[in-house]
Amino acid sequence: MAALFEAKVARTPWLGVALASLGLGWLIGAALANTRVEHITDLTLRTAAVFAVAWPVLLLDRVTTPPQWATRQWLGDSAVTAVAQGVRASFAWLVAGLLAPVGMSLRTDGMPWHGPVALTVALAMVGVWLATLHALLGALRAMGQGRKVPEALAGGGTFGPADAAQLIYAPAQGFVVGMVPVVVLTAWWGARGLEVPISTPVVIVIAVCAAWMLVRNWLPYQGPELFTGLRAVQVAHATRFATAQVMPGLPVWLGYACKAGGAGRWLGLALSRHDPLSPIVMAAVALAVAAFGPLWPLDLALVAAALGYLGATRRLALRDLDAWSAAQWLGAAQADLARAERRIGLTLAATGTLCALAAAFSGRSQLAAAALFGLGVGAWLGTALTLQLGPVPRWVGWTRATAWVVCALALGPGSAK
Amino acid sequence: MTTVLRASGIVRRYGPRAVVDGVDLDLCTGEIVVLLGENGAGKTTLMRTLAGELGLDGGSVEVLGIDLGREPERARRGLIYVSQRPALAPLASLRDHAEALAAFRGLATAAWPAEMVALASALRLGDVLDVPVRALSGGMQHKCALVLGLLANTPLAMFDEPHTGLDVRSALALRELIRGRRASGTAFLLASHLAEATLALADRALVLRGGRVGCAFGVTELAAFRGDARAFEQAVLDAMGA
Repeated sequence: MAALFEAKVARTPWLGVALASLGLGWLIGAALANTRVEHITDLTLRTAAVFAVAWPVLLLDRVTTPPQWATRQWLGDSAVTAVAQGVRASFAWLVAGLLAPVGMSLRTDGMPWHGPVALTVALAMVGVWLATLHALLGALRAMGQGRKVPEALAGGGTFGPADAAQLIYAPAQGFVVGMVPVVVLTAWWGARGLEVPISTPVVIVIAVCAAWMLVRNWLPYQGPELFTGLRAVQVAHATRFATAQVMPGLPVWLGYACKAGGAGRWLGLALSRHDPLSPIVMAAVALAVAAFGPLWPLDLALVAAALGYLGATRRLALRDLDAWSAAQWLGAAQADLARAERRIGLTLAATGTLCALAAAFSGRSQLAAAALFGLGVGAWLGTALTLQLGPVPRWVGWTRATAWVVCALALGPGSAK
Repeated sequence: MTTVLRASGIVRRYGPRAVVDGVDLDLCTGEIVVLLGENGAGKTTLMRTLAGELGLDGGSVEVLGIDLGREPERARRGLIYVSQRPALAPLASLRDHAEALAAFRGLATAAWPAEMVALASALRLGDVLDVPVRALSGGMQHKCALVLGLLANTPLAMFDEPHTGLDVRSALALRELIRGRRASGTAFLLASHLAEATLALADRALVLRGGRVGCAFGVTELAAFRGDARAFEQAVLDAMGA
């Protein structure tokens, strides 16, 4: 029923989405077909990232703010069914999106690297979708189990910062975690070669089935805490404190670096100020630039910086809120904050290490070592300081962002053969 | 009679200001209680708090014995709250909303469509069942929400100023519909400014003043005012104070 109601209140032009995916895939397939073979892994990695970055945005939107949630809640819909419907809707988007590798294969069929390209792109899309979903549901559950959520729902109580931190980080975390196997796969492919003896449609079918099986097994275990978590998100979206927290200020330098014109910068400003997804959108924009720009190491560095920026500015947003005397609303439970930061730090460190190893695989050992060092210092020191000092100093976030840049540089041109 | 709602010591603050300050309220099956009071007296805030839309700063609420704070989703299944600005989906029609309501709340498939048509017809919405609500006037949208509130057939129904924006015929029809539901055991908590409607429906009336119950009119007192709405208005004004 939720699906029927949603279909009425938020129609999705599925045919258009499917055709757009197919067409986009076809265009990228044409670009790949005209690429020198030594650059094919680089371009595949970037293509996979471009296609994968959509899922964190979509899932954050569908799962944490189901269409007409206020109405549905009033009519008696439960959080679990609303989230399940959001997951199903995003799965439908995923299936439509997986037509992109099919479109690519229309142009690349017969090329020796045809199989690995389809596999890499499909793996990125499904992997990021699953990882983001897992992170989001975990964050919602955590918010639902929070000690003071009922007061937070009232708008005047407290709201565990650890829970909020998880939700804010979930999309970026899902993207990063989901991309790890892709980065490793492309590095392996560049270093050792890769044979995929199955056709693209079979790859897609396997990817779809695997994703759906996993989700079907997850959802029944999502408890009623989702309801409270989801309601907390709804209240948070309507609260200026929460909006400020979810939505850091505009990274003007990123807008300039992306060579955006006046209109582009204005759009970026509008997104940053009014769209809680703006950090993700900025990352997506940067990824798109990275995919099609001529100076790809710089562009990818910007992408990495944008992702690091998510972490850095979130902390800054918390500082601002503290200054606004909104700390009460956020809770200021430092133990929770430290736990969340530690988890985030560990994820970043593990991911960065894998990226650095992938770069090392591809022969750029010096930069890989630099990346490893940067990540080690940035993530671990940052985490350690968080645990030691409680509130995170501003520079810790920027250290993490820098670590990401170094990591991205390590994966620069020629990283894959 | 079963206690449907038990609220004790309800406190709700906006910042430092207590908008609802220590209200106790019990409702039994088939009982109609009307909240009266000036604008800002705390009627809507109290109802939203009882409906679980706002959190509690103090006190406790039980709906059919289920603690609203501990098990909000389960407790809320026993009630429906129709606000002054109902959260209708603009693109969906009344029938769409009713279908969703029936599915979400597990209404009997055989009964609800006819009941929905009957309720809609009584409130003169029979011709617009399939029109998206955004195409309806404000008053008609309000009536759509009231139809859904009655269709839900929950043990507890809370309507915030249900007569506001209704034409005379619809207002009278609504009174009859509420009486009909009361006869089948639904408890109603209504907020109103209308003395006549209060006298026509209420078993009890509570006058809120500064977030507290300033005065309560029981069955006997209300019976004494029936037929003399002006005297009742004066009594309410006296209860509100200067």
